[in-house]
Amino acid sequence: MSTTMDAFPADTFRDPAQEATHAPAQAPARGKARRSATAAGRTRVKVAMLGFVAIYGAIAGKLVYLGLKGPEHSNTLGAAIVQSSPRPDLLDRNGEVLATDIKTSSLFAEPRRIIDVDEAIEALSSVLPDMREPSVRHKLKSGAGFVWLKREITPEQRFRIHRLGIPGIGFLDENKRFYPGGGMASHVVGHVNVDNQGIAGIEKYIDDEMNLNELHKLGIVHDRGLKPRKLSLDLRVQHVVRDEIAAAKERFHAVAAVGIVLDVHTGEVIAMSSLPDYDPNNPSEALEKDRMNRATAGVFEMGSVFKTFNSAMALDSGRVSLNDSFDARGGLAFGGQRISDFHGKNRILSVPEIFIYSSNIGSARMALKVGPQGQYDFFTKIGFHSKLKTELPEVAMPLWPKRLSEVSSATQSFGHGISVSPMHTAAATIPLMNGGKMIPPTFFVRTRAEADAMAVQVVKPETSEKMKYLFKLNGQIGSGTRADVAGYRVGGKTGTAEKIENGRYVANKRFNSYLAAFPIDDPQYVVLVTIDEPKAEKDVGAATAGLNAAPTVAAIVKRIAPMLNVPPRFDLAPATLASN
Amino acid sequence: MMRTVNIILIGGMMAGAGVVYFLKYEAEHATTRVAQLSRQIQQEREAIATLRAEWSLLNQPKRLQEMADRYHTYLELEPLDPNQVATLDDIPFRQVMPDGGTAGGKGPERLFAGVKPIEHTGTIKKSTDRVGKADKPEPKGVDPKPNDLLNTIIR
Repeated sequence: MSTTMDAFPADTFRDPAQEATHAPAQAPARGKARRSATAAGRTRVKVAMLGFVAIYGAIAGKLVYLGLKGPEHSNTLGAAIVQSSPRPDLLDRNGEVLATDIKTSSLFAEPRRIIDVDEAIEALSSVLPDMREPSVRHKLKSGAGFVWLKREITPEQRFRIHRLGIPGIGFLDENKRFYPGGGMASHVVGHVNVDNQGIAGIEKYIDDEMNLNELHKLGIVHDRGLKPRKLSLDLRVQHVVRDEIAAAKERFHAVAAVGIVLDVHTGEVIAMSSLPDYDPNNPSEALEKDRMNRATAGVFEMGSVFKTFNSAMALDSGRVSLNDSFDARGGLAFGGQRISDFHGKNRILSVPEIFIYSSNIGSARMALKVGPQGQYDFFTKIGFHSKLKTELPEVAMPLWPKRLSEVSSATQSFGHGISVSPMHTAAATIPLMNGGKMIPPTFFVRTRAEADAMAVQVVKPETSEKMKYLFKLNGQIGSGTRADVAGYRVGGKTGTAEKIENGRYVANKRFNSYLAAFPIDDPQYVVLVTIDEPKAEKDVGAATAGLNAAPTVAAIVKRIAPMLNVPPRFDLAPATLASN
Repeated sequence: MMRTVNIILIGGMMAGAGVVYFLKYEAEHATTRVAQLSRQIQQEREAIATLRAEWSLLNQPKRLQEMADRYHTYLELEPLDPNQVATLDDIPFRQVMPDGGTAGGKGPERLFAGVKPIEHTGTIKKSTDRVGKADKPEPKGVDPKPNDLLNTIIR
């Protein structure tokens, strides 16, 4: 203790207790003052201590705060300015890319910072030969702050120019939407505008659904959390459908064609193509005349394929059975109008015969037995009086007569006087093939359980059975024989509608379709092909659906059935016309 | 006593300062590395996206069909016919020849000569089903994913 004490001058370290012993004779008053002075000293020490505690506490707090905040990424170095917002990839049901973002670089120059223009041009032209043009030299000599040299160069070109290390030359990165398939699924996928915002098809739908545009406006641009979206399309099937309807369009010199494949149990759109289509990589094509999406955004008088729905309506009402017969002789007159048959049999026909011979008179008589109100209610039930409920923004409202009457009911029975989109027609066929469950078509993957949860029973299961029989019969001995593929059991209904021009039906302009399902003994897929204004082939007399739309369906089914895992069977008994 | 404590404290402080400096430089180094790596990851991601787009461009059914058409005669490719699709149940076992199957024969017949069929009736499917019950073959590895395919292309 004493050695430590020696280290300090005695008077600098005054122990109050020691002082008290060394100067016992000092006046008690002075001692009192001293005592109060040491008390003041203590307070000062305390204040100082508090001050230090506060300062160090603040520092410690800041450290904890910085520690909790996590590292701040200094990504800015070398990262380029991204000008357009990223979008989620669109994939088909097997994971093949339908639409993706690729980074494109654009080359710019800051002429003020270029040291030797000739050298820069010489170096640049070793990668981009068109840099030798006089306009480039002019731009670089202008002394401007910023000029674009070339938009959208390839990653390889970018790498090579970067390696040249020319001062005053730089790149800006942009997200660009790329559609590897080109026009393959253009009407489903849609396209984007120059800012990478969806303006058509599913691209527009996902923008609306995820509020991508709002995010973009707020300036939030981030790559994370954009999970690829899986569409219900099967790229291979889509290709086959497009390939075959393109072949048919060319062969029959048609103006347009539509092909649709739907899954009967889930309502998924496996393929949808409308020709002529456009390349979404070049969106201005979409505005050209005739390139509209006819599958969902166009409405047509579908013609005789409506006898499918007419038969289903009549059979489901319970007032007509498969064994009933109707008089199809002569014609059916309504005031001044007269309904007649295309291939008139001029005899009494049973319900299956009306279906396979496509008798207008018989169909009209079946509709009259149910009545206009019954027909209206049935068409409402299967969706012909409302817009299609699906994700695609381009859907058209069907057109139907606003006043119920017997004559309009009679014409609607064979598909005249009511216009619906081809997708409407295909979607309404789903309940007739799957046991009566109406499922709205979707362009995204949907499981069977999800589909069952939203299904609405619109017709009785027995009616569905009877419709399968009628389809099968027509596919084997009726107008649809050319649509059958050995082993894959295609059944369906032909439709040859005359088009209206200037308010009149024109005999040589037709809208042909074939509405089919396969395998018809246990339908899995609905296939619809429509061909707009086909011309007859030279050695064949007519341009009826049985001769052009039906073989197109056969060509499609033959190629897609193995892809869709539909096993061929050759051991099934053929359908026979039940005689009454 | 106080002195040793103070010396120890001063030493401790200096050591602490050293460690803090060391940690700071370490952290700076790590931050640079993190930034570098994340930039690299970003570049790789972009490269993958570009390659994926290229892959799907090359794999378009339309292009494949054109190639198949072009090399149609050389590769003798024909579209699949429904008659060519069969299940294992449709394939019967090879019939036993009257002389026990040892006769010469041609090609595959000679290859299998001497191999005694397990049974004379039934199909391959039934037989494989029975084998499957005895010891189920473990699936090896995982299915090649598009990424693997891309990697093979990159290399």
